[in-house]
Amino acid sequence: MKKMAFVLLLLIMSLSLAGCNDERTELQIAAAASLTDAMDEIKRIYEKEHEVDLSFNFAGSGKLAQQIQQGAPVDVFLSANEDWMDKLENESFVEADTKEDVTGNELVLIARKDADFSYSSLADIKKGEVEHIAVGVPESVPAGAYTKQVLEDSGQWDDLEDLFIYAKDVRQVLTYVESGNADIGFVYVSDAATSDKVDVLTTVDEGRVEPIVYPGAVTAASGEKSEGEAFLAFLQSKEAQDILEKYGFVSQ
Amino acid sequence: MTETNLFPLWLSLRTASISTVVVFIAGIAIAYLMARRTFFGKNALEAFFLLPLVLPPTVVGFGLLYLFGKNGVIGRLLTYLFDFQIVFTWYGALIAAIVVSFPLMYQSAAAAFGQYDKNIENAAFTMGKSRWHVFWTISFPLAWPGLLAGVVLAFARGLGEFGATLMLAGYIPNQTDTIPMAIYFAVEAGDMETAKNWVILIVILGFAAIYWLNWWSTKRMMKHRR
Amino acid sequence: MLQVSIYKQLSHFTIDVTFCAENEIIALTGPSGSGKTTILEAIAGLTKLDKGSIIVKERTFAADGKSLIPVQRRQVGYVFQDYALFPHKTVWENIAYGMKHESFTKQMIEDLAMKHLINQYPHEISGGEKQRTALIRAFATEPDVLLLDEPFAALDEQTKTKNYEQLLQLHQKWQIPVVFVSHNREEVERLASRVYTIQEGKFTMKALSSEENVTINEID
Repeated sequence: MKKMAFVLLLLIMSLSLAGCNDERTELQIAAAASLTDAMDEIKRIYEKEHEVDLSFNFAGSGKLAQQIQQGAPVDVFLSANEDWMDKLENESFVEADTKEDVTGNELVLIARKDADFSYSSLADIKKGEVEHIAVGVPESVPAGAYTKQVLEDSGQWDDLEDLFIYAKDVRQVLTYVESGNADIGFVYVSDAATSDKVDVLTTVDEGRVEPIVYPGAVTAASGEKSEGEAFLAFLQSKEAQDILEKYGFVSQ
Repeated sequence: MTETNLFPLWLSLRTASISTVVVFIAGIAIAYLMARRTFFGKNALEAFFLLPLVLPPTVVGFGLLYLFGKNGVIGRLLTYLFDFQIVFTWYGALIAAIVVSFPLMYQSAAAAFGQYDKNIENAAFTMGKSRWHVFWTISFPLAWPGLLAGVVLAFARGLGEFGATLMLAGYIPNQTDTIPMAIYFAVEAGDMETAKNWVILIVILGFAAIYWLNWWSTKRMMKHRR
Repeated sequence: MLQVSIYKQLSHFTIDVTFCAENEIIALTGPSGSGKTTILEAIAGLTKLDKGSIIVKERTFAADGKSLIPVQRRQVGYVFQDYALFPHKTVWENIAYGMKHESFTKQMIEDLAMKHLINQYPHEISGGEKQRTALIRAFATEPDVLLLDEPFAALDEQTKTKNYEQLLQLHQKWQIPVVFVSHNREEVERLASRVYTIQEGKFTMKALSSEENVTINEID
């Protein structure tokens, strides 16, 4: 009995020691959901070239920002929207001097591939022709907020308002348009690139809305600040930027 | 979504009550019919009934969108026959609630009809009573405790349903926003005050409904239990 | 007058029996799982026959294996193993559920000394009292044939003897063919005028017993 207990103890100790042998640092990165595919590829390259394990948490920028505010253990925050980053900066949740523009995006109008909407600009959207327009909820989905800005600007928001179906994320917008339940929708060009069932009808005019910028920063509570900064620096490299462009993002 | 807008309250109440009634009738009827029979594929059919329980609500929602959407089999039929659409209307919320709460009612009912000696029903038949009569005077009262449990579960699930509803009915303020949706989007937007108020309301609603169900049940159905 | 001819395939053997009865009590005995309960169920209409016929009082319940009269209209009294009383109904409500004539029923309740229990629920009365309730309940429907599945099995010796008397008493008042299943030799001898022994669905022995003599013939 005593012998068995001793062996068991040894086993447990060796197992826990095995964990301790890991010399690789782990970096927790909260990234906007739209960056998922691009980051998966970047992760593979980065982990090979550095002694760092990247652990991503993909979600809406708003939700991630809230999690950081609530003390979630995040080292780096990649936001799809400057507002959330500014908010964290003002409340000192991120290190202001690490903040950089990682990449950018464009707002586009999409429709199902076989639909015959030949809109070449937003002004072409005619209420009678369109039954439902899918758009992200402006209060929490950055693409939705941008859409609202643009359409308010052009005076079309109120007019089209009863056609809007609000989605909780761009994936849902895509689903609605792909399945034909929404005739048209507003997403980022990078989101449109993930689906082969939709066509981009037109890009929303750059001049009419603030450029869509994805800022990144290291959090104030991070225990791996230098590693975080190194990762952000890598994102500025040609290698990383090429990958981002591949997935439809717009370099800054 | 302002604090004084109570639309989600009425919609949730309406949706949850109707779906519970529908599911109560359908769940009991189907469970009773299946309880005393075996047939080829019975297990597969029951597994199919339980699917909405096992799948993530978003997946269920996706499936419902696929079926009831503008290009779906049922969706197109509805448009053709009645010039009517379920997607992006509160009927979508109703269908979603029905689909996700049905398995709970069915399971409870199936278990309820299985836990008493089936010779009790046989005895009633030999005494000359029709299937219908025996169901109401024997099967239903004996199964009632389990059926009540099913109703409570179904109502709770219908009231709290979110993922599938969001897909099928969409989020259209003052048309399809149920309380869970109001809570979700309030949280997403960082509006904790509104979210908190809705949470309190939905808890009260759920509590009240379940309390009332139990009270009514004890009064009416369980007189014989001392 | 009861005429039974049953052919039914079960998972391990086939039931193949033929017998008839006048207004007498006959017993089916034999090892567990030999098909006795199935035979009762077939007569009652709770299970189907593959081939055969069942005729009671010149009404054909089933012929050629097909059921012609559903269980509800066969007027068969059935006392199940474990009695199958309605747990949510009182003794009176149980008995009255299918009763034909209230005065006849009330008389039976008196004769079997059950009057003081009529407002009790099944879970509040003893085994012997449950059994008597089941008996009266069956007789109250004024059946053309009575079936009993091990009706006395759960009772202690003293109660058993008392209840045998009561079955005979009831049978005096309501003369119909009675078929009962039992393992108990004493019971069978006490109650039955004829005994059939079944093994794996077929009769292996038929005995005629009168008060003193027991004659055993081999089945030809």
